[in-house]
Amino acid sequence: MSVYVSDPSRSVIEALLRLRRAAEALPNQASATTPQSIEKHSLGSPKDTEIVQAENQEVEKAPSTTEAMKVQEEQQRVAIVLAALRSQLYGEGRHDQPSPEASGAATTHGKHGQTGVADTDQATPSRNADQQLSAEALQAVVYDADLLQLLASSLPLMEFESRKDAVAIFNNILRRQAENRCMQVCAKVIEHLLLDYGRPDVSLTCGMMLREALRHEDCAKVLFMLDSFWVFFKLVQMNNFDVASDAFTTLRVALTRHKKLAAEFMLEHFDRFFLTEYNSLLRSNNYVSKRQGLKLLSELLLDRSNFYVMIRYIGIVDNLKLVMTLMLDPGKSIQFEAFHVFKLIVANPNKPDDVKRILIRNREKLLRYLTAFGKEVPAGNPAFTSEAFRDDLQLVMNEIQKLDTERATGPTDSTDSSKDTSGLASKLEAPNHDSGL
Amino acid sequence: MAETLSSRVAVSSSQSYPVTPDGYEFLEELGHGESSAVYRAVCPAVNNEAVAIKVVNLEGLPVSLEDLIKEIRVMSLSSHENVVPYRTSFSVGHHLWIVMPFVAGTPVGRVLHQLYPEGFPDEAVIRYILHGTLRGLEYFHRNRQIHRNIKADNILLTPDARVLLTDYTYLGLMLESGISRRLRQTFVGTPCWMAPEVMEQVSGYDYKADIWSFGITCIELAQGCAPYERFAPMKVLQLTLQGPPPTLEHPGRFSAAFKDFVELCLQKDPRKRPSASELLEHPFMKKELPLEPDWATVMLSKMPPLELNPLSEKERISLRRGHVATTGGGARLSGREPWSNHATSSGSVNAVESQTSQIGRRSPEPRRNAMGISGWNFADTPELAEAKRERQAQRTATADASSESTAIASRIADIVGSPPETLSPSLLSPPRASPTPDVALFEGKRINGGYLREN
Repeated sequence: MSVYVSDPSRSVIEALLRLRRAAEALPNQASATTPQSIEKHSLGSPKDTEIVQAENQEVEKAPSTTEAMKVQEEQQRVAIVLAALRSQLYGEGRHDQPSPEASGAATTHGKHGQTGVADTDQATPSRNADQQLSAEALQAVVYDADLLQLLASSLPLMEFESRKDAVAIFNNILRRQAENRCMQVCAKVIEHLLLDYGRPDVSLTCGMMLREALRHEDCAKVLFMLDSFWVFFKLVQMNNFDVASDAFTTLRVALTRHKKLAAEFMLEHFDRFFLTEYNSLLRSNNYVSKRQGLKLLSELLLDRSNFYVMIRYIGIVDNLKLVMTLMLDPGKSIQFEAFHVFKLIVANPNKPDDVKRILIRNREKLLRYLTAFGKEVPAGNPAFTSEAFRDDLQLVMNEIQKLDTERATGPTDSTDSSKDTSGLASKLEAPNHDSGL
Repeated sequence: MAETLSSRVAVSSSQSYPVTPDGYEFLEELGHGESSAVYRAVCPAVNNEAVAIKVVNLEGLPVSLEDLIKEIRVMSLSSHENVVPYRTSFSVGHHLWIVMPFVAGTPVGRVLHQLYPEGFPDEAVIRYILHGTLRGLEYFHRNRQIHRNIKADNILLTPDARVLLTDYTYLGLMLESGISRRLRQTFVGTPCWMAPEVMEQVSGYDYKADIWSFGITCIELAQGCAPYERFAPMKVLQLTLQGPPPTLEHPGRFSAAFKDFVELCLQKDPRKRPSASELLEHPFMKKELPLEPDWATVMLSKMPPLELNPLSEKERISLRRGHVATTGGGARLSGREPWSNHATSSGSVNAVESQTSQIGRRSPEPRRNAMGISGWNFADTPELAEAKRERQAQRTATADASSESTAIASRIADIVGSPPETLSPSLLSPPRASPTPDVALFEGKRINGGYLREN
């Protein structure tokens, strides 16, 4: 059998469609890509995860019905065409003949294709005419919107290794499209990827595809318009570390890659983005999302292009309360990241009165805290010893020291603060009512 | 029935593993380090599968969270019989729990130190271990990854004769966002196993750097240690760069095929080295040598047993609760004066550590032993620790002779013969807070006090 296929994208599409049909024929679709899949996993409770067949190896073996056999057959077919297309796109393919007898084993054990061999030659690619895609065939692959969509939506059905091939193909096609300045990625593709992002088995592959798509402004625009965008805030708080951390990486890319676009988006949805979603992320009990969330927040606020976002954020008294609460977190790293947001609020030359009032009321405690904060340098953490950190700390302390006290004697709205749910923030105000005088 | 079938098709293994500690039954402690501990447990939700759970303190980690995420990503995207497997991971408070299937593996490096300081006497054993290693390596390379730290210490052997590659701390990706990166330029690895082009830092390197390290590992298995292991790091660089490629010291002991195999791997020109797949086709790999049945079981039974610490009922319960009672990162510090100038964090952060050290049965490992989370670092046996200390002392002594604090970069540059500017000084700058930079630079397993950041 020859690797050369006249229309490679067609053969992949056909194989994928056949696989989908075969999977649909299975009774009781556990694999259906429904929105519930995210909901289900985000709960993170072990009780509702069904006790399913677990051993990866066994998935390959012992099919007991014809339907399941059929699906496996189709999975293998998909594996072969994907591997072939991948090596064609990447200009590889010396040892790439997936021999028919190997197809049975061309699965998780990485037998299909010894393409690793060819990689090493990339510096001086040995152009073998037979193995290269013809220019026409390449065009057909690159502009085949169906192909992208099928790749994005069929990930859960593919085998473990095939998914990586799918990512490589997807990313390569996007690259080539971008080179030709003709992006054809429809909202559906992005939506599919977001939909499956919460599934631990495919989340990393979804993430890789999404991040590649987000390199391109058109795709970022699409993402910001989708309602599914907000699913990110659920994903980054998932218990599963793979999913949460990968989703965070993607969120970061989305918010920092095309700065102008992202700034507009954040301003437009300021209340929902920061006050609802982001702040509840920072209030969550998930250490990792808190730590990463704070880091990204200070990065975002410090970016020149987000100037108006920052001005708005640091003028809101609830944000100050939240950040002060976080500075009391048991985690040193959380405290440290929180300080980087806190310093902006303090350094704001036009602090609103309510912000000033809180700072003045807690002045003594804050100064004590910050002095200690600077002294107890955890060993091996260069972040605390850097010159910039010292300067920031000094600046913040000076700023707090010279806050004019007269302002604080004005009428206080203690009602508003005593209702504060976090408890700690209200504590900051109440007992120290007269400390500023 | 039907449910099982459909899940067989599409549901991967990680999906069904619980992502909270109470989904596991803890049995015993396998090892304990400064910022991590490894437990053996079973997972009732998945047919009582035996798992090893590594609990890493994210607050005291010498690596950045980003590096750690990268490593986890590699683990979860790898599934091969010669690669240490992975199940799932989740965070509880400021601890990350990493669940892997339990592998009763012993690092081959440790077997060498303990049983065969002169190398494995049987070429069949050498071939067998190398074959498994090479298959794992081929898998990584196929996924466009360079392992960058191939050596006997990072190869596990199990009693049922499985060979697994571990420690992806340094694993570098050759493929990012759809384009192939041609060459890497990061200076990572362990000097004795490091390929000349990795040391040179001039033109970059690729997969073939692993093949060199693999070749050194061949010699290590045959002779008990890497060729220049007794030399100071600077000397190792010099010998590797200037001298001819190392060869087997007693060629008479080995077959011609093996000698040829090693020679192929240890060619200074990376382009001349064969790829992992090509090496698998080499006559030395092709011909299976006869082995005793149960050879691995017999061999490993001679090893001093791992010191297992059974857990008390109380400890088990507190583990299942994820330590939340004492160290939950999200737990509020109730009753504490908000802005008190006591250390709000460090006290509670290290509660696990202090709690355990009160029990008094674990001695903290020195930081140089900190490994990547995928490394299989159960607590080192005392003998090995002793041997390491001795070697360390030796190294320090040799290195002291030339320990003036001249920039390492310029010294390597002298050897390589290129101006210092071509070397990235930040990569070679002394580790943080290290009193004797040029010794510490190559101390133990890690360079630069541990973890070199990539660009």
